[in-house]
Amino acid sequence: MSSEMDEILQDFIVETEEILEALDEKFVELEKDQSNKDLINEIFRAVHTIKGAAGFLGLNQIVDLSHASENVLKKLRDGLLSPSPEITDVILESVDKLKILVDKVKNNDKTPEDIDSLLTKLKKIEEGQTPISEPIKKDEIKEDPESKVESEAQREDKKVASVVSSNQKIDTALKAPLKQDTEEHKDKPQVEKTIRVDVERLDTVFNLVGELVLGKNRLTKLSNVLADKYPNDPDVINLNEAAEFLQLISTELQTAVMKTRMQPVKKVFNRFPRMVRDLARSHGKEIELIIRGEETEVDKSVIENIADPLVHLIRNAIDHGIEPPEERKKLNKPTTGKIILSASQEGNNIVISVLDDGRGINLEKVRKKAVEKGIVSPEEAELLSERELTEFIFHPGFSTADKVTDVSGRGVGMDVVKTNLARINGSIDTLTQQGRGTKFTIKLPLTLAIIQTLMVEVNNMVYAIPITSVLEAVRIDNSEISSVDGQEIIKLRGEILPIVRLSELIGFNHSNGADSHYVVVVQSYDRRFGIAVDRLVGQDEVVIKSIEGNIINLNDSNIFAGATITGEGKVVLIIDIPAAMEFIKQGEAQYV
Amino acid sequence: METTVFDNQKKQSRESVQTVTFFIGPELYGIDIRNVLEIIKHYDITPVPNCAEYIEGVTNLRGRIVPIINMKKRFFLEDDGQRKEGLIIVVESSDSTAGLIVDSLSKVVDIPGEMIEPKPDIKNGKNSRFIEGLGNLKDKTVIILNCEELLRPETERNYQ
Repeated sequence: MSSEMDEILQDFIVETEEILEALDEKFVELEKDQSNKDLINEIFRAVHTIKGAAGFLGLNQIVDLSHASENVLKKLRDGLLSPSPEITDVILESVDKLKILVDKVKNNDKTPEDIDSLLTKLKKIEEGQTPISEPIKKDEIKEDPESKVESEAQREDKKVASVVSSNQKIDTALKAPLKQDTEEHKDKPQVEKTIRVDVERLDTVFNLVGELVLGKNRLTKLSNVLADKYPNDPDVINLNEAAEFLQLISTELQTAVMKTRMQPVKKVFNRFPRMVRDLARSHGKEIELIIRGEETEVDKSVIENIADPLVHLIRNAIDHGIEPPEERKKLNKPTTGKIILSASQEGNNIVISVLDDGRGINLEKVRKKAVEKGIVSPEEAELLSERELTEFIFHPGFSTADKVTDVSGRGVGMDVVKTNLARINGSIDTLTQQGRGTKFTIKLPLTLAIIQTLMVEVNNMVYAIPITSVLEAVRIDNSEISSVDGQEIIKLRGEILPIVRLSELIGFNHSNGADSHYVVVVQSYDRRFGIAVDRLVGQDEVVIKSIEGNIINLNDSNIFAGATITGEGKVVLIIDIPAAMEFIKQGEAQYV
Repeated sequence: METTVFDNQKKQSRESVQTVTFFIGPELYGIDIRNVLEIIKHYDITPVPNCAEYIEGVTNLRGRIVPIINMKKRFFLEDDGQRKEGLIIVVESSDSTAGLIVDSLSKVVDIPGEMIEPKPDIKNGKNSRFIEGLGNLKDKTVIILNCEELLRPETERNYQ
């Protein structure tokens, strides 16, 4: 087994165990509130996620069992079955069985588990033979607890068995040479040794490290002063060395703490090549997956929340988007379809997009379906814009697929995408063109992300400009600034560049009237402009922080994207470049 | 009512409110000590343009970015920019933290519960929402402030 596969498998185990654990809680809730549709929907999605992940890992038993449970849950959700304790029992049994199956994967136990009787039970329920209404069911009710006890007993047995086997292992290990033992260990996929820590606790550690750095700075300064005063005093030399050492350690500590929260999106993207290949093959499609910007770092919470949405988007692209090769040939498209998955930092957002060159979304079909589902009236439907129509695909239970496959078509995917993204304040934008393809663009805020900034000064105040938007910085003379129709411009290598003075942007009165300025050339979307500042301070890696409470709302200012604390402990505001561009567009940045 | 001194003290300690008192202009104000996080002397305020007038800016409180409220402006008083001591009282409400610029700090006093009066029914006083009650000390009155309200932004008023 390759190490990459190993990692994916381990992730699957950790995730699935988490999901199953959460399911237990949800069932307890459901027991209290049988008619809670949201809860059923949540359980349904969880099972769906397990199925999807197990599917591309080739864990067939898990797929079969979750597929069968999902069918029942779907009927419950859609009101085709009414919930009853008997049904819940069977589903619970399935969940228990899933746990056993996942345990087996974890222990690399390849012996098949008996799931047939459970599958039959689920099938019967799905076909409407609710345990109460039919006499056969009585037997089954009797059977049920028994089989449960049995499975419980089996599990006990297994536990004993595993204890025995591990005892044996110890025995053999004791007898056998060390080498063998390590080999034996290699066979097992070792579950990652992680602990879950509340982000808030990490934040506290992070803040304290920041304070430590400040204290260190003060100490360094002091020791330098002493070194100047008493250059030959051995104690002072010692002090200096200690301060230097402290500096080294604290810098490393700071990076280490920062890193605890940041992870490259690669961690999520890694699983897709395999998934795309397998799915493409099973669908008889030729698909090339292109991944860009996988080194982009995002906060752990973001990583956790984008995995599911991306799985759904990519599966949809494979299943609904990309056409089979013959069809593509007819359409004069290259037979190999393309899916481009890319991540980048744009201004103050992390943008992840999934683009396919497939058939696009059939908006007419969406319109019909929306009417069919009773979401809108036929009259209303006619008036909907393309944008409004594409929004429907995020509606729970909405699917334009004609048949249900093990990949998609149940209409679960897209609403999961939306809910998961909303949880981290993300948004999703859909761009589709029939016959040409679909592009989903996910935008996530950088709230916790670390960004590189260019520190600039104006009116003796320092501000930060995200370096991802900065193209270059040039020094210009006041005489080089001219004004066209109220808009200040400079000529940069023959090109006209509109500029805005930072002092005006921020709302200070006109700047100090210095003769020369620096112009930071920035780019937002596809527009370039310059920001005139008094001085360039330097480049700094900062963590965007929020301001305590809600008495200051930076969003209201439309100029700042956030705030940060520099190494010296000063609060610096971060300029929102797209907002600054708006400023130019509105033509408010006029020469005063 | 006949109570021993001991009992009386016990009763007091149970009901009295430890209050941090300070001056804003000539007036003596107080805040329940349980809302006071700390008092800072050395600070470096970064102004935040385009927000409410009473916001002086933000400061770094051990890695947290905390808004600083100019209490004079919060109370719609003239601010001559003079700071006697230049102290900031950092207070906490249920969901927020902020620093309050006050003119000078007085002391921490125990105000017995029975000496606290509910706030007077001032007709549409601009600042009445900030007042929790009035504490009567021997020689003067302390205006006890409501931290929750102090740290809550105006909803009807837009920043600018």
